[in-house]
Amino acid sequence: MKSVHVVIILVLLLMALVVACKQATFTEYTIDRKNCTGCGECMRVCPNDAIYYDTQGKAVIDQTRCTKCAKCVAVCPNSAIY
Amino acid sequence: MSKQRYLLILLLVLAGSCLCGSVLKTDFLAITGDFEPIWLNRSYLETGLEPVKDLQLSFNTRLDAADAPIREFPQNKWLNSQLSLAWKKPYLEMEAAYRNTLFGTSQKLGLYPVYSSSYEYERTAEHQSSIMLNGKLAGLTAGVYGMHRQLRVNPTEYVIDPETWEVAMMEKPQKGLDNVYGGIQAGYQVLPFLALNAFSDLSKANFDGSDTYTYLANGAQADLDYKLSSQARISGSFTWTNRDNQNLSKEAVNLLQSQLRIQHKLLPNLNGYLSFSNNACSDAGLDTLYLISNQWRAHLQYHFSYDPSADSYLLAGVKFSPENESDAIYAEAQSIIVSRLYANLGMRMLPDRLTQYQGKLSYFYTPFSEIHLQYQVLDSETDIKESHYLGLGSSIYF
Repeated sequence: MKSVHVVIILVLLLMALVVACKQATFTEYTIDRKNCTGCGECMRVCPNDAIYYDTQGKAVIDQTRCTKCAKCVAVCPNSAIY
Repeated sequence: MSKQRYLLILLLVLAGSCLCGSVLKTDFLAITGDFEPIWLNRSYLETGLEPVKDLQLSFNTRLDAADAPIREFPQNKWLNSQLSLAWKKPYLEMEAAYRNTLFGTSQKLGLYPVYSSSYEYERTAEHQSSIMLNGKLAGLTAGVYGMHRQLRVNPTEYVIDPETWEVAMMEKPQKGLDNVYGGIQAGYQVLPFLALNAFSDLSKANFDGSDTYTYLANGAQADLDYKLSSQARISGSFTWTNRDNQNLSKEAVNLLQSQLRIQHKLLPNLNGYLSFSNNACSDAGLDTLYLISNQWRAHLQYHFSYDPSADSYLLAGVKFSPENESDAIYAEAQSIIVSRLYANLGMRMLPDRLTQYQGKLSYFYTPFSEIHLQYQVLDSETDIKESHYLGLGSSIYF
């Protein structure tokens, strides 16, 4: 029971550290896997073939090809892209 | 799409309908607005069977067919199908899958970051096949996967005459652009609520014959999953990924992703969760840590006790992600009105992007099959035109 509290506190401290850091000068969109249903709407609108399905049927953004147009953000029915 | 493809779709639908545990959803919609009315058929079929113990064959397909492109979707026809075969034992699982996407209307594709003014590609289809193997033994886990994705494109070459400066357009034969992906992972359940994993992923593409698209990611992950009480659970993960690709920013070589989610049953009929996700990065020397994005999310769902089938509910949620301007607010209410008749009202708002309202009346003529009438209005502050969707549909579970 104590060890789980230590882990949770460590996770929270780590989060506090990264939240407080300097804002990056670039944008990266990420898919929240817990809310992605693999419907493919994001893949349809992506003009750069930067979104594909992984082996579990979830959408993945290839950051090396993404032009940050954000078209996928608006069409995701589960608002799973941030 | 050709007649043969439509025939194949029909055969697949008929084959799917012979199987058990299936769902078939169909909607016929008229879309109106400040443009010519558009007719849309949206169909979804999901089916599966277990021919022998522990072996599962699954198939799903989704078709969107309209007589003109809708909103920001460049294709007026789109078909996405997946066939998978999985063998699952408590200590070992294997899966082979094939996914096919047909873009009924070719779409001009930018193949960033390699831009060539002399070539233009239109994508027509995508074929994806994958295989994965995962094993588990006494707290140790290991997995491997391989995937091949081929994008079928119609290339057009633009040739400039050096004397007249006139541009000639030459259509080239259809070709395939290949992407290959592979990866391994290994992990250990250190404590009942804590697992540690290490992974390595590699992807390559043949788009231009160079290493532009070669991407190597090595990383480690800590996964937390703990039941706080019979009503609450906390889960989270921290992932460090070292990324190697020449297109990524130098500040983003090391990616740090943290996630924490608390699920709680607040009342017998009220469930909810709170989640927080953070993406941060750093350069190769880990000198400075940069924030990429945060996502705070809260979700509540209440089931009305007067409906024993639990199909009468109220849900609401909010997502806050200021760095990438992807905030969202959503709410939905569904309730039984009279016997077998349900009403549903919903809204979704993405500030500065999109506002969507919908209403639906469903009549269940059997416990698992319904027909419905729906109306949806969608407005946007971007270049998407205001659209009104009105239509009839049905869902059949058999």
